Amino acid sequence: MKPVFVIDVNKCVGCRACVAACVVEHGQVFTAAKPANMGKPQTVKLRTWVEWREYEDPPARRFISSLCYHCEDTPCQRVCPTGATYKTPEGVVLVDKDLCIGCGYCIIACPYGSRYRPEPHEWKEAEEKPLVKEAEAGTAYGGVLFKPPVSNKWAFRMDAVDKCTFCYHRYKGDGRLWSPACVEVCPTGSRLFGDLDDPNDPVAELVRSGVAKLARPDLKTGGRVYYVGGL
Amino acid sequence: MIVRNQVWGLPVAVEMTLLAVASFAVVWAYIFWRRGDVKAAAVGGALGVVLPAAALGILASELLKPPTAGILVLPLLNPHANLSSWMVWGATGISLLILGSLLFTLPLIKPLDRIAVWGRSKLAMNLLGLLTAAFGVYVALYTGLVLAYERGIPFWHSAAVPLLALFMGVAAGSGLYGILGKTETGRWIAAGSGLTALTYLIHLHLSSLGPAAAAFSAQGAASDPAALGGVALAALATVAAVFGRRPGVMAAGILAIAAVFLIRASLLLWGAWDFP
Repeated sequence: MKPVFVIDVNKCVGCRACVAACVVEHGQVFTAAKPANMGKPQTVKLRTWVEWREYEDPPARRFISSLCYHCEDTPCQRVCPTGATYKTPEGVVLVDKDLCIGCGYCIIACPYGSRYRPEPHEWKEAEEKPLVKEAEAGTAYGGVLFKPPVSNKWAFRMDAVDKCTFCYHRYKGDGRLWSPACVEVCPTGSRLFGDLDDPNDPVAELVRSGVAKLARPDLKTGGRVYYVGGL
Repeated sequence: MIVRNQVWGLPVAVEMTLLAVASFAVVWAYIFWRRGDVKAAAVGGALGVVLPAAALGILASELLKPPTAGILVLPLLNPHANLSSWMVWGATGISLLILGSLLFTLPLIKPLDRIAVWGRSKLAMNLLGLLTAAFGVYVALYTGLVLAYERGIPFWHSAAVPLLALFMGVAAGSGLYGILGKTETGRWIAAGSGLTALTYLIHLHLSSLGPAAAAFSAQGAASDPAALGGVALAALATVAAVFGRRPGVMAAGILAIAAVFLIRASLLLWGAWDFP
């Protein structure tokens, strides 16, 4: 099985349901939503995020959602000093949170901005000024969650670099494709998940036919995230 | 979308400056030992222990898991070490630099020379001095290679960066002995500082012609007081050191180390990605 992610930019309406689903699923600190953090760069980024681009002629706004590209040729894995970054047999790039020491070298090496390091000031901020004070279960994880995250060894942790896992914890190891949380909640079908090894998979067909393309083929990293509609 | 690096900031610039000073201080320590100036050799050797250890301490404080910092001491011995990572080879080089400096310096300090019996063998000291000097040069190069290795940040992904790191090592390590009044280092301070300034200016120019993120970095750095100040101080150090008089060399030493820090900070802080 070779899981592949396709994002149809033409269908994305920028609702960020995918971001919310990802935050809840993995228990990420959600300080990025605070007005004080607007415009701050990667350090307050989440596992998946949505940006918009505006065009003048004709006037238009397009929403570009992103996540880890799960490269074939992985710069992050190459530079990781402790071997914490690894690839599963299915090609999903993951971080062993116990081995990760948080040096940040993988963030430096990633040309897509797909990794982030939870910053201590964010954590402190989340503890002191929780967005949802009444959510007691959430306070244990920073006071900003709606429900406790799904327990898994790749869930958000303060002491390790964080990134998208394609929701690998949902994979049962039976060779059957799973469905990531963000794909499940996307109301417009902009986010699609398929299997490149399945000749009948309609999502994989978008990649095979060339309708879906890599965001930056010039970087020659390959990857498992393709875009329909260009960036 | 171009985003500036905020992951490796000023603490890393300080760390790399300390490594630059130590890298060629140990080279000079060996040279002075060969010339019979044990006192001067001991200073460089001792700093070859203290400064890299402080650098590793700063690196440890930057980690998300500081208690695991021990992994950075001779990481090659760690079964999980990823040998394709420059950080593993660099941290191993730093550890060996500390170890080599320690073994080289102990016999030079009284009364420790009574315990450090290997100091009585000239061959052993020559070997230790040579090895430590080699580790010093390696560490200087590493501080550039660790940045230049990957393509993520185009401003760093350049052959000029390891060269720049090497020249910064020459300038800073020689600068240290300049501050101590060793006038024979004057020519090397001048060469190191001059080449540092020249290489950085060429790097800025070439980067401004490169990919969008590299051009952004180069334009930002070119208008940044840190970069301009660094280049100006390096040029001043070159001029002050070239005459070879003691006050000039001492001033040049201070200027050279300050210039190395400013240029390193500018190089790090103006690193930028071009995300899709």
